[in-house]
Amino acid sequence: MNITWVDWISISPALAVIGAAFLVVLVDMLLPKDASKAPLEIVSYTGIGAALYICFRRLGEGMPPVRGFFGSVVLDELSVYLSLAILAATALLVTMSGEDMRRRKVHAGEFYAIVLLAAAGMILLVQSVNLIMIFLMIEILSLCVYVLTGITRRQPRSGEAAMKYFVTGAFASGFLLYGMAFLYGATGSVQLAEIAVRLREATPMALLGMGLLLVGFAFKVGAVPFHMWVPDVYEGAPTPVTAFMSVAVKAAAFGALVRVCVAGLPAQSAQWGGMVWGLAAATMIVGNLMAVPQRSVKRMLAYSSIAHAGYVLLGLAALKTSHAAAGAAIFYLFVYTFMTFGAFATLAYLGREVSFPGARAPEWHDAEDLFDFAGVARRKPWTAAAMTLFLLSLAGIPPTAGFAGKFMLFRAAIQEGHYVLALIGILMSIVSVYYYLRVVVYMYMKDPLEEPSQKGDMAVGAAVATAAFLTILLGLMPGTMHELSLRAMEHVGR
Amino acid sequence: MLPYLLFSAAMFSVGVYGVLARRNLLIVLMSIELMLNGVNIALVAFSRLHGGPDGQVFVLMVMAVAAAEVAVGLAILIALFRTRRTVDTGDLTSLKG
Repeated sequence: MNITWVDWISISPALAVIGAAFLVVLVDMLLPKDASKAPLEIVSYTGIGAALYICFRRLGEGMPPVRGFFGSVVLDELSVYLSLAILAATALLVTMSGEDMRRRKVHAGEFYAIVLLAAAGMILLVQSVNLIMIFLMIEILSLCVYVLTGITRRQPRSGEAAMKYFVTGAFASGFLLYGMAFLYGATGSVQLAEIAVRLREATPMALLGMGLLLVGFAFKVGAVPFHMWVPDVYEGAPTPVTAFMSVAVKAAAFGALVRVCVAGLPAQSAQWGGMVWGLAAATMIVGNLMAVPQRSVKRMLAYSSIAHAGYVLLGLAALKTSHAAAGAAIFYLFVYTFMTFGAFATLAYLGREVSFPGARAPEWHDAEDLFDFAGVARRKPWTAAAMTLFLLSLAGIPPTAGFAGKFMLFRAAIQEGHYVLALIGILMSIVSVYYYLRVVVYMYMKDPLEEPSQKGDMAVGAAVATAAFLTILLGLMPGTMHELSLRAMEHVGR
Repeated sequence: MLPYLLFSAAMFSVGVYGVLARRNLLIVLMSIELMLNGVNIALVAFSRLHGGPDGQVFVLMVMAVAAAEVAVGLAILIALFRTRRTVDTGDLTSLKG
């Protein structure tokens, strides 16, 4: 068995990104020490652009899936769809982090290389149809994201967040791996398709493996009751990294979860459907209720991202009866990418340098507290408008993308007869309006603090504007992307 | 078959206990290694049961991942120690709410 041209095509989007990551390291070594870091950004954009081009072409032509490396990866519609979200988040992160990482005192070469490698791991994760590949890719992306969380290593908070993330992440990997070991033990295969064939009836060992696997995935996506790490890690990580991991890691992990459930365990749908049902209900309720008392906007957004994981799980819970709800969940992930990234990026845009007493140099401080948002509308009307848009979208108010996403999701859930889950989702969305709109109230109706307003960084502003544009666009014209998500889910099991 | 699985489960459980109960981060890292090694034993046993190479390949991959994981974990630990002067999980309390 030789590796042929088809194998390389099957991983071409990830190859482009990995190539760019290696080039970034090389170019970074060749650049003079004080030179501008713009070439690194150009190299990163080239890799991401090439990968995006490949994805768009495959999406446009509706080509049959390409299998590669002895059937362990597949380039199909689901993987292309989620890769688009992952690549978009990566491109937004690269856009905003040139000047932003300099003032956080982060070495640019390392940063871009690790971001690109994380993105490559995520893209390959949503393409994996083999337990070994899934485990390896989860680890590749996790290791990169642990490092990114702690990349501002002189900040105690960043280090603490990285350590917490590392310990919980590695702990979860252990469960995930043990689950995979039992699935392998029950079937004698690591290929998802083969496992599906051999698991016609559930043995206790297979069920144990499935349960452990779901626990591992629940940790990775931050579903209740395995969510304890999310607020701490999201709060402690540098804000652009938080923006990236809250959307891209989630998209990748959900992609893998969907694939394992649909392609690997179709006969056990009653069992995992029940578990996901419970996870979804608990995640929506706890995530939203815990967000209400938060005074820190960053922490509130962290809890809100837990809540949104619950909405996506709602779609997966309905997956056992139809693909429409799961398609809506995938579409929701896509929509969620832009609104959450935009909200976190706005926190970075409104940040300022603060001289703490006793510190040698002024430290960068993102707008995290509610009071940092007081009177923003008067100082920076456009930024306030963008933040309002993101928050309305997260709350699910038309005509934003978040409304389109929630509407499709709840409609699909009700059509499938999941009334209880849909009811919980709708009630909790109403609760969420309170804590999202509180930030808007602070921005528009409170007096600003005396602190001199600092000019925001252009690049971060560009990322915020792009995310805002896409949030509006997806809200007004959700049709194409929604249909593509449905098609992606229909074809995933084959 | 069963003795291997019991051994693997015991090793995994010791690892889980270590992660949950010990407060020294170095011991937590070691416990995570123990969890992965417990899984490795199960994988090798299943590989023997089914007679294919898949499980053993899986084990080699897990070993590589475990090595990478320790490298990253220790790096984060050192960065943390430089700012905090502690490796006790009980002292990591600046993020709360």
